[in-house]
Amino acid sequence: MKIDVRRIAEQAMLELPEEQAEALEREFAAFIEMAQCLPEPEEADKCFAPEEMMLLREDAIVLSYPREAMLQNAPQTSAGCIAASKAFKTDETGVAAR
Amino acid sequence: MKLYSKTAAELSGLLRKKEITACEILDDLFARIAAVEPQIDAFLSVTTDTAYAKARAVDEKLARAQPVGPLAGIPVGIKDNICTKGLKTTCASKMLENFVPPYSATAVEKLDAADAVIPGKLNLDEFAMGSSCESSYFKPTKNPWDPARVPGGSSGGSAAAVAACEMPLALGSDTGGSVRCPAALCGVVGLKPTYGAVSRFGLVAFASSLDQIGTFGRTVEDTALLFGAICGADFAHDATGRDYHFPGLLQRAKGLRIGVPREYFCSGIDAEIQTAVWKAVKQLEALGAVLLEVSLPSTKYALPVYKIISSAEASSNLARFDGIRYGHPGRAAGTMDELYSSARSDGFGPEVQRRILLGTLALSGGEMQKYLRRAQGMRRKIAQEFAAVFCTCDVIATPTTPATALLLRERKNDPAGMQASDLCTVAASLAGLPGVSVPCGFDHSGLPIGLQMIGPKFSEATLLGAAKSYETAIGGFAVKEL
Repeated sequence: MKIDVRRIAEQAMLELPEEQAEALEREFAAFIEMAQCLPEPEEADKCFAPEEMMLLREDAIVLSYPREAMLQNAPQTSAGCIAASKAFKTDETGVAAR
Repeated sequence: MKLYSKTAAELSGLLRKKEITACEILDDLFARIAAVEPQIDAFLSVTTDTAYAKARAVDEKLARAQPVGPLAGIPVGIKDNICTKGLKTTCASKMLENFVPPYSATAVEKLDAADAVIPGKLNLDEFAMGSSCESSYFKPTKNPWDPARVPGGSSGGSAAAVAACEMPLALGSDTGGSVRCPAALCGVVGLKPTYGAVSRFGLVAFASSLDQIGTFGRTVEDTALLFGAICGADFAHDATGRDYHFPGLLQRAKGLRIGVPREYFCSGIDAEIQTAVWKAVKQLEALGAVLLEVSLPSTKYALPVYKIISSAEASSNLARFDGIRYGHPGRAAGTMDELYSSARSDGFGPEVQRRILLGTLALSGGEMQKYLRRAQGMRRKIAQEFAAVFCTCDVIATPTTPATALLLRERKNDPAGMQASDLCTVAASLAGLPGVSVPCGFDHSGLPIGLQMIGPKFSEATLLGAAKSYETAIGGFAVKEL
């Protein structure tokens, strides 16, 4: 099973230096080999057991945390909002790209 | 009076008889921390001001004969992946190096309601991913029994602090063994409760279907006291499975049916550990317990199933760390994706990144979906095998770890080998069952060995009662002199 390690790293939102790609491929291969040893589940093992549900809270409107408390850990804020880089830059043809 | 060497139960008794004050307990404990912490490195932060403020409040209540909680004046260390409002909670990661939570975990709020005192936050493997407490961004913690060795992980700071008498009690968290394993390697008692018995709200999530806050003490009674204070329904958050009220220890050895699974006494477990654990269960048999050989045939699949499910859930849970709302910021870059990637690659250590990548692979669909389904199915089978055994047994006894404490850096470049330390503990985690580790002897180097007992769901009273029976039979657990 061939795995595109760069695509997985992209999905994980992690950088992948070129010199680490080969080691990661080996790690992935070992992980898949481990997973392949697991047997197929029997029918009964595929079902979700209802007695294992978590106690759900009442679906009621409650006050959220104060804005200042939510902003205190943000690396950058502006005008009472969390600041971030702009989501789009334009390429050489002027088309917005992520 | 060496207050630091006293148990929580003893301190509580002295406080209520007004022979000591909560502030005096803190004086002695902070002096102890100053004396031994350079050898142990269990703490990430020591919170003197807030601790003394709480201690003074407790002393005032006691002086006025006002009612106080069950942990009044008792210091409890908190693993640093459990949120404490106003106090840094770093998860031992550069990603959260300066993070101050705006709320406390439900377990911490319950400790406050019980009038416990929090003197500091304790070291761990980064984001609770590890078995040695070496992957902490800040520093490794050392084992009080041999500071050249690891304390186990990921709750290594909690176990070491209790073993070194820096704290009488501590909270940890256990996903695949992260309370039980360091308890075994540090010679203390560690309880992983039934999944859903203690609220996970405020515990920074690693693997949400496995995580559970657990308790450490130097005695079974202390460990149970702490568990009793933090368990129970959390109706404000979807984080508990039942409104469980701990009724206390049901101490009973006579007639206790102890299952001994053959799969846990095999070539992968050190011979000295197997011998010590057998000796321990034989001691219970001498008190009237009944030993039954049982089988858990799917045990061999437990570690692969755990690796697949825990890494998949970790990948999902850690996706929230983008360096924008909180956490380590990314480098100024061109696109949003580059900002996210740089924040995460700079902020997470190599082991965390490894697990996120493996988890992302597990969740990548296509062919991998088949393996994820197999892991989930096998998880259910493992749970069913335990349930079948519990039809004829009250508890199951196994070694807690396959080996005693490794040397520092011995397996630093072998993360898969390090994860094998959880061999004996992951199956109970997958099944959501409670497990307790108690000291049951030493190896030829004088390193502690742990006996693990596992019970059916919400059977902590019987489980801890069995542990207490063993503790009483051997005259108590040894404490390391430092």
